[in-house]
Amino acid sequence: MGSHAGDEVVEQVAAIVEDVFDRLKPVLVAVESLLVEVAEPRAEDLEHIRPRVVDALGGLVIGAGYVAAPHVLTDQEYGFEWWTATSAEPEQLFISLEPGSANFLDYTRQSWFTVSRDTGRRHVNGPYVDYLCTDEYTLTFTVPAQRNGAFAGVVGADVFVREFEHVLQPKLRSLGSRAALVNAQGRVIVSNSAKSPTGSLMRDADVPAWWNAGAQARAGVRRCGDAPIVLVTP
Amino acid sequence: MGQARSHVFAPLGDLGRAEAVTARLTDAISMGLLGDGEQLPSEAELAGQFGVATVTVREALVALRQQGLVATRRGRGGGSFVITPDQGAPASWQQRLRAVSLSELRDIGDHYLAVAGAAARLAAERSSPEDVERLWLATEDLRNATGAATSNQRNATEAAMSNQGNATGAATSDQGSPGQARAERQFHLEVAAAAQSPRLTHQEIQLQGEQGGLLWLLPSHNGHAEHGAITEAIARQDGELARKLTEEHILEAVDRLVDMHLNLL
Repeated sequence: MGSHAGDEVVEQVAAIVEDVFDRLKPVLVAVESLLVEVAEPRAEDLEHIRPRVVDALGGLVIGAGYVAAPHVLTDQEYGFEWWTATSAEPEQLFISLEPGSANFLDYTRQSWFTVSRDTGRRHVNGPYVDYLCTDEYTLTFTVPAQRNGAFAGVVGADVFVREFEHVLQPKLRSLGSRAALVNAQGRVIVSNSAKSPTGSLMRDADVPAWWNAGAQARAGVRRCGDAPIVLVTP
Repeated sequence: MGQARSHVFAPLGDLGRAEAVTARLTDAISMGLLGDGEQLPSEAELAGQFGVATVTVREALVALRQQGLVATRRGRGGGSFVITPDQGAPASWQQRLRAVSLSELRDIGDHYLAVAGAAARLAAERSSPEDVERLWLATEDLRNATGAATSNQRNATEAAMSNQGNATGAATSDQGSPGQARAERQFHLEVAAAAQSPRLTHQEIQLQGEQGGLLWLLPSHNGHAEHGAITEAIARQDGELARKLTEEHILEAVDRLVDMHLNLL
């Protein structure tokens, strides 16, 4: 396998990741300005960021918005402004936000929320089954939002794994030998082999240990840009 | 005529949806999952939760109002509020459980077994430490919810079973609190998600709602320990054990429903 072909996959992933995060920049600006301008924001105030959220949809991005940290809003503990582009027109997401409700699912347990909260950095979460929103196999890109230097929630974008695969499979196929893009836990996002199905863990490659040790380039394992996405060529 | 014509050309997906939403809310009210006086989410929020158009929700609310199960107040502090029918919630879930046939219960149980069992096996194969962490959180939810069942519910159940026979399963069954049922549903939802399968997750959600959410109406007293054992098997990547424990956990839930059904006849 020529290393040049591997370079192309790594560069393409890095470019896709940058494009998604670029789409989120105006949303983050809108959220952080809102939280400065409105001292006691209510759920209805989130409408002000709606135009920027809807603008972020498009390309690979099929869902986007802001998810508030608990108690950032003054009139309810949980809240968000999230829109999806799975139909002809953008649609707003509504889920139960009442902790006492039978349908309540606590989003502050989801990794797309906790990782950006705990590291203070942008993150690509998944692949995972997004049962809170579309029920699809998804990658969620998140950036922490701040108010007065404190964590105030995440701004995020959803990309369907099948669309990500659709874009990247041609270059993976052209590598000519077994290759997979996996996340930092070693979970397959897209591979060019039936031996590493989407969603499975490539335990042999031991990506988590390599990742935690600093992810220095080594034979058969390469990081894509600064994203937690890794090209494995076993 | 104009209205009838536009109905002809209504999106196919929306046909019957208002009825489905009405049935779901009627079940939840009759089972006491939605309490007397409880405020329903807004029309837009309900539409989002059910995945239907706002007009569909509006139609369902009209039907519920006509049945006297919901009252709507306008203005500040307004909204739609639940009116629990006079016969009371426990009698209603019992009526429902009495009405269901054993063959239906068996079939729902078999389907659920296939879905949740396969999900558990795949979750053991595919769970990252992060997934396992979330499964432990969901396991703890049931411990926190157990014991939250109110004495009212126990009394109502015991009264209903005053003529109970020797069916041991039913004799030890209480109707769970809404919190217990929610913790059961959430746990199995997390397992399906840990299996990395959108389809199994979707089926899990659908089956949980079968017969108005009957399946986890009578949760196990050992539910916390059983979920713990399943999570442990998943953490140890023992797919066969995770599947076996999940199947047993579900078979016992179905057995409790069958015993209770027979007791109610």
